[in-house]
Amino acid sequence: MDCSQSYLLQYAGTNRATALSSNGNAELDAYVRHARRNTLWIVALLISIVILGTIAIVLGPLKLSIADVYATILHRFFPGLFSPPSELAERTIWYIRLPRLIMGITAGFSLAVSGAVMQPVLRNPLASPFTLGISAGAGFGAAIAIVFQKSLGAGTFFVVANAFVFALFTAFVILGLARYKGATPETMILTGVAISYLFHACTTLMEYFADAWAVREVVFWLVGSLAKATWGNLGYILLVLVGCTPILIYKAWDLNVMSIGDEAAKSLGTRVQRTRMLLMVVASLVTATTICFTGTIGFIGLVAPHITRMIIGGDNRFVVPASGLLGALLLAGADILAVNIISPTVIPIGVMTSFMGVPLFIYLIMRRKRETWR
Amino acid sequence: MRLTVNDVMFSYNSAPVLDDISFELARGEILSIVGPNGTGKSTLLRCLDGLIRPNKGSIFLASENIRNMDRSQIARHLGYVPQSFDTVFPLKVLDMVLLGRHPHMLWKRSRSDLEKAYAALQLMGIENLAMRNFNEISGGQQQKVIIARALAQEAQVLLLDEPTSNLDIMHQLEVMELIKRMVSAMALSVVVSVHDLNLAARYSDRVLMLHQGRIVAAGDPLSVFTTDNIAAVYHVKARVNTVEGRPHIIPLKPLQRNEKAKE
Repeated sequence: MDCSQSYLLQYAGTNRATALSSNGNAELDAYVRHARRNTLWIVALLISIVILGTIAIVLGPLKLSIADVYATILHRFFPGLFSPPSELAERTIWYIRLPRLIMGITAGFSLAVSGAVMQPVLRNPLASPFTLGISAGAGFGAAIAIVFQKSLGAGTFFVVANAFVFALFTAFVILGLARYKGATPETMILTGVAISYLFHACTTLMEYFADAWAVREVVFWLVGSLAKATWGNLGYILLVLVGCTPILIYKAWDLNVMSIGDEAAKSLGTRVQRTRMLLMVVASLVTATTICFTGTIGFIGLVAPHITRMIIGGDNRFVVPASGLLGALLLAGADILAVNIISPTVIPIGVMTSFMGVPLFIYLIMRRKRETWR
Repeated sequence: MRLTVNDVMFSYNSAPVLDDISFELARGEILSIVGPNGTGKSTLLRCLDGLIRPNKGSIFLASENIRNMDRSQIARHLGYVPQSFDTVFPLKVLDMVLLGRHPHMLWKRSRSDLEKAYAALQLMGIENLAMRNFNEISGGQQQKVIIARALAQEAQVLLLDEPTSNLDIMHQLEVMELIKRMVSAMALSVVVSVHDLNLAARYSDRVLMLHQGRIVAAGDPLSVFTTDNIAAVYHVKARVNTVEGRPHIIPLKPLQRNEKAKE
């Protein structure tokens, strides 16, 4: 093996010597610079999230300074060294604004990463947690819990648990059917769209017969909100993210390989069916864990990966983490507007992401120079 | 022997697409597969790469049955260039060629992986395209990129499914010359399906002529490309001259079905 390896380079080397172009490895250097620039993008996104996050905590009915914010947060970790400005400020920051911010960041990250993985895995630019019916399933689960709450009891947590169970149930039904039929991307997407319709119909039927307050609750849940952010809830999401994100990023090479088609990917040594299943299960788990707490926040999962590809190109080793960060940035940014634009009324975050995201996305589609999907 | 094919039979449903296929491929040999449309050329190549499993028979890579090898093992030894290719989310050309390094590497690509991918592009003479998006280059250029990907794979055996179908005559000759040079320099072995009989005649050491999934003739180009074989398999009346020791086929006219029946 080793001797044949050197052959390729040697043979190209002798050819290079005789070749007319003597610009050496200019293109290769350009490629390395390109990769370095992509890494810089990721760093820039991280910094932007920190800056935006600070703004998100500073803004609000209770006026706070940047120093107050950091003093309060650092006080939690080094109680002797920093002191919060007041107990009210501490409560506001630690129990309201910071959990909400982190919920926005993690939710945006989860949805965007799931979308970034699902699109190449299913080789479809429309793929997202929505296309696969995972959101519709979660909505249906939540609606059951809300409408039948009185008879079944158990409060808010029951809504979350039910949404989670139904979201995962939907994902596994689709993956199961696809596995049985050979797991082609087309089967998965068509099944997902069909199941979405079914769940939407079921949810609508329940709303039709439910009490007015329950309908209102269901509608609020379906729109999506960050209001249920508590440290306890965040614990679950962070746990799943910490466990799942490395898998998704580690498999990014396989995503590149799989994007050239099943048979070609197979011939390059990827076990296509198995990898597709693994990635779909992990992405579905991430999505389900997030939307059971936030409701169905639309659009981020579809759009963040596309915007990322427009900026840094199609290499999934960069697209997956960068989409996650961009999703986090978009959702946290949308939430700042949602909370402050007609304060004290909070616009539902799902509505805000669409208001902001759709025009941005259409603008980017119109002005992009090159096709980033086919 | 690099590749040994024993009595392979493959069928999608009941009618066999391939039947009774046996041949061997030696080190440093270019074997062409010719035959009319739908005769099983692509199916045979996919069987050889283990992408589909023959219903009967066996395929040995060196001394190992490919049935017992896992995908990445096969990918280190066999490079496959499919007839058509598409990407939904296009990669840069160099990233596309880097995929050929996939069976050899983990997550982090090393400098040497990059250099090999780039060397493969240089061999195809398209290193200036390295930073372009794959979907922005012409069909012929795409075909060269895919061949470069197979070269970057550093497999000893290349399976090429009509690698010149999108190329003009100059580039057809260029690609075939390059394959020939690589075969002698790196002792590669190549199985290539070709529509252009003259290209096959000019560049292959041996030719398999398939008809309806069976081998009807095998051997050196001069013995396979005879007027009789061409009439029987393609239903074409042709003249065969010899140019530089190789057959040169001039198709004259299609034969009527009954004319063929008379023979």
